[in-house]
Amino acid sequence: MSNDSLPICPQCGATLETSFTAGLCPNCLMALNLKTETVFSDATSAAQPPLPPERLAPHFPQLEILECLGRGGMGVVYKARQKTLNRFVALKLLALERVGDTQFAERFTREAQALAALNHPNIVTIHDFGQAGGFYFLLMEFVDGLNLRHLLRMRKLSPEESLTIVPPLCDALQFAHDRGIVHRDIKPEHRYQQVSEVKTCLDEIVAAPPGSNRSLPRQSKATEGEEALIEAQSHSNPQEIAKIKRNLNIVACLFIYQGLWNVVDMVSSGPGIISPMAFLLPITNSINNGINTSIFKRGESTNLQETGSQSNRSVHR
Amino acid sequence: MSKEWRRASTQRRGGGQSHVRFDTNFAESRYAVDGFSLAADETFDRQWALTLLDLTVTRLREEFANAGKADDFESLKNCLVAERGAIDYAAVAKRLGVSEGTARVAVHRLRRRFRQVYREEISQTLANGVDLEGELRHLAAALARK
Repeated sequence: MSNDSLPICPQCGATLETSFTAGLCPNCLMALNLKTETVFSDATSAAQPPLPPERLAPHFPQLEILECLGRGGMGVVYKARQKTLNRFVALKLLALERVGDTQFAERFTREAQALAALNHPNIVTIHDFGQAGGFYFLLMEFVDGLNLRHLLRMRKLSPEESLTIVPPLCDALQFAHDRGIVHRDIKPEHRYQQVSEVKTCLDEIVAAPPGSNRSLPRQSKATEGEEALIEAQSHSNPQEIAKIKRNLNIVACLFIYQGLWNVVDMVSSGPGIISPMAFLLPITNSINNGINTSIFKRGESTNLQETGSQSNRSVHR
Repeated sequence: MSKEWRRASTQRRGGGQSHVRFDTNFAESRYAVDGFSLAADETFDRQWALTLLDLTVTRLREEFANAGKADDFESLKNCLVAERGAIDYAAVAKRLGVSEGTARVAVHRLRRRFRQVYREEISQTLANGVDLEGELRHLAAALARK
């Protein structure tokens, strides 16, 4: 179908895909929903395209901004070159519609500080963060590789390959977990595969307040702005935090499952139960437990690190 | 009359439930135009957001039709996607054959009703206590992804 034949929304310029919603633009319709009672500050924010690199350049004189790599719930990511050190970096800008949202800005700052404190070979390093030209930004290590989603689209991974990814991933998540940081958005897009290295991008997290090194956040400012986040779940008390931890494990298991079996349409069809294969048995049980559709039958806390080391052992068996 | 009521409220055979359109052509056509630029779960979320929008608009249109004002909906529907300041109330009033003040009220009510119905449609799919606004933002983000 050619795009030329499709009508254009006079409001936002988007191509109107089909004739449903009475011919009205879905993006503009949705914007009406967000116009009141929400954090978005203007009507078209949800559909706002990322700014081109040249528009950002004046605000970041220390960087040569090369290209937009993508956008997520938290912000837009650009590839840039740090002029002084002549190295590539990833520049993440706070989603434009969040500018002016003080709660979100506060959370962004807190998370940047929490992430900067994490020093792990499998976690993307934070170089800098701050404010420039009205944007909140994170300057991160640039991982020159494919994210796992791309990799999975290109080809099916063998179980052996998948199992070389799982242990460092689990190790990184467990490392952060032990320091009171919960990754709330584990998905293949956030895993980057270099030639011999797996990197985890931990920029969508729940951070513990400073000083509470080994505990997860309880009712505190740390969670107040959470509902403003796209992937947010309500969690302001210890029970809710426990739920998040449990979900973290579930998501990790789903992720492993997806990696191992490349079941990309799992969300719509629901996961099946993995047939036990002898050499994968040690982690199969963990995964089956983690993805059980009944919340009451799921494991309360799948030990991620253990899952990782078990899989490591099984692959070398 | 009493039989009709009993049939509508019967619990055993799906009474008290609303119907959702099951139109395979409609579904196929929407998935067909997706350029495979999104992951399956993102596509699913996006299509779900679109389905809810479509259900909402259909419901609004039916409400107008039931009140004998089907034409009014056609005259007013573009106000759902217009910026507040961009609505030409004089033109709307002319189309509706009412005063400008009445047209303003009609537009305001339609927009308010749209938000109400969309939230109702979402909340039908959520368990009690699940954050409605969070889900709304999730769907908005899913729709914004391309």
